Amino acid sequence: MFEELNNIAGWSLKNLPTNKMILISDWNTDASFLLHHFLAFYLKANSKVVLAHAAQSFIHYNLACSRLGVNLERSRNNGDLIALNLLDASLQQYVEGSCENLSLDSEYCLNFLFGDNSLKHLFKVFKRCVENTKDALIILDDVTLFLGLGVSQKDLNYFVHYMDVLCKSNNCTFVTLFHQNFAPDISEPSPYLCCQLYASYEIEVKGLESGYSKDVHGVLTLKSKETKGIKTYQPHKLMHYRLTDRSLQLLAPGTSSAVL
Amino acid sequence: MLEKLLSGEETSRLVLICDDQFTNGSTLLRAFARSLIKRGCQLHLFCFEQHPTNFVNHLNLHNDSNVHVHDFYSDPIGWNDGDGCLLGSRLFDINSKVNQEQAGGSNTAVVIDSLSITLQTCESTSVCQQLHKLSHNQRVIQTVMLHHTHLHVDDVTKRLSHISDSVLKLNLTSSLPKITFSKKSVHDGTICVTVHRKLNGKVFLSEEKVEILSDSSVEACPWQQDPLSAQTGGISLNEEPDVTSEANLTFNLNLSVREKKERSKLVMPYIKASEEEKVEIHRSTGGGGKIFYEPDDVDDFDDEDPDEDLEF
Repeated sequence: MFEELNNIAGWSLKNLPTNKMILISDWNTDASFLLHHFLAFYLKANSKVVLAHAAQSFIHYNLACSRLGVNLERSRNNGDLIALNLLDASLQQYVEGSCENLSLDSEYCLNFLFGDNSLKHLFKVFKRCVENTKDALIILDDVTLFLGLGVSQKDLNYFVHYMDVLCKSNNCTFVTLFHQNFAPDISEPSPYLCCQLYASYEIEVKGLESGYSKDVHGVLTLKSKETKGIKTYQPHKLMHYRLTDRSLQLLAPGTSSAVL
Repeated sequence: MLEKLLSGEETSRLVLICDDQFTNGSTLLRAFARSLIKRGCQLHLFCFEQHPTNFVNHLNLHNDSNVHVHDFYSDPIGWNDGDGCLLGSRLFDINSKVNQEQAGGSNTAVVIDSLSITLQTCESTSVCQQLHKLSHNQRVIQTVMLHHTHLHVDDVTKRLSHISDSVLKLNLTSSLPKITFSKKSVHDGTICVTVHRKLNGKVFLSEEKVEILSDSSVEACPWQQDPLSAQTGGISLNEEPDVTSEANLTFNLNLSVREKKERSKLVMPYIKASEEEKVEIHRSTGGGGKIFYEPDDVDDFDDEDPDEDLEF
């Protein structure tokens, strides 16, 4: 897990963000390294984690998290981690037309592929996973993927609303990733805006406008929502970042070794 | 205008609060709800977007017996019940609910925390019809609703604005997504553009800077857009003196009124020069005109007549 990010956001192993939706968004870069952070962070805090992975395999996450000091395989065997393999489920369902042979964890949550066209079942699976637990974390590794699989923007908005309800009622946290480059229907407002509406925190990651740099990998902005004021977000905390296998280095703009 | 609408001094049956991704209209909605309760109204609160308990807690009420909460947040389309979608029919029966629960008095008010889910579920025209009916319900003195303009196409906002008596549109004076390192972004304010239609048909437009005070009350003061930024088409920054930088200075940057007067009296050297020039020109026009030529040292005089080939 990335200590520097936690320090800036005011999170720690004893002070986990609960009851909240955290939106990770990226533009011209890949922010999935933050998913690894949240996985490792919550597992180290002995919280229950539900990982629904549709963009990457479990092996990928296991490898990434092992560098952050967490063994996902062991956590899954201990019951701390529930992995919903939506990647295989979607393929199997698409090829075979049914999902009877699938294991319990993926079930029929991808019914939208065959006409149901809603994420209701996925929500219900999440709900069942976090029942009777506190401070659980639900990670959906790529919410934009569903838009490409035929889920309408409206249904995605419903899903986000119900995830917010689940977070508030079960005291859990929902983390998801939205690729801002993905614009399915430009005539309608982007579902990204709906995700933003429900998110208490947004971590926005962008590539550098000036192009690739060895010392600075991009710009990371942490936005936290204001509840009392009339502005939606408090002043942003904007930082340059440099990512290594095991750490995330956050720098004030203009203070990287390449500049100084 | 905003404060008059809040206090009830200005009558408005249907108030639409429009916000976007940079502004938070729910604070203003709560201010309206608080004001309606203070005025002794029976408040029907329709929560679609925030948990009702959360909304009521933020109202900071000592006695919430006048608040009737209708929870549409927990299960707006029936996913939690497992009995399928109950779109439209269940979602927007506000009118009948108000009629049913009405105890007999005529001081009922309705506050709707975001129309977004309703507008996604139902046709915007039918929502407008329902709201129109509600605004003409004699039992309801005021309906206040929140609308997120960025989540819907412009037509929906136009329809809702058309049926509303007052439209309060919240804007930031400076756009937040443009990330700047200047201190000005810290001084950003929120502007409320109010379009209010009176019962006699007169339309009022006002632009006010809105502040939420520490006791959650709303303070509004008139605001005018900076003409320079209006010309360039940008969103204006309300120019406030940068207190932090001036505080660190060892000298005074500002002038007092007396100093300004004295400055205006001072005749600058270039002004004097131009006055002398004027006098010279005046003299020359009055005297008929003469040319004086003083040859330079390097001038060579030619005795030949330069016009001899012209055969005068």
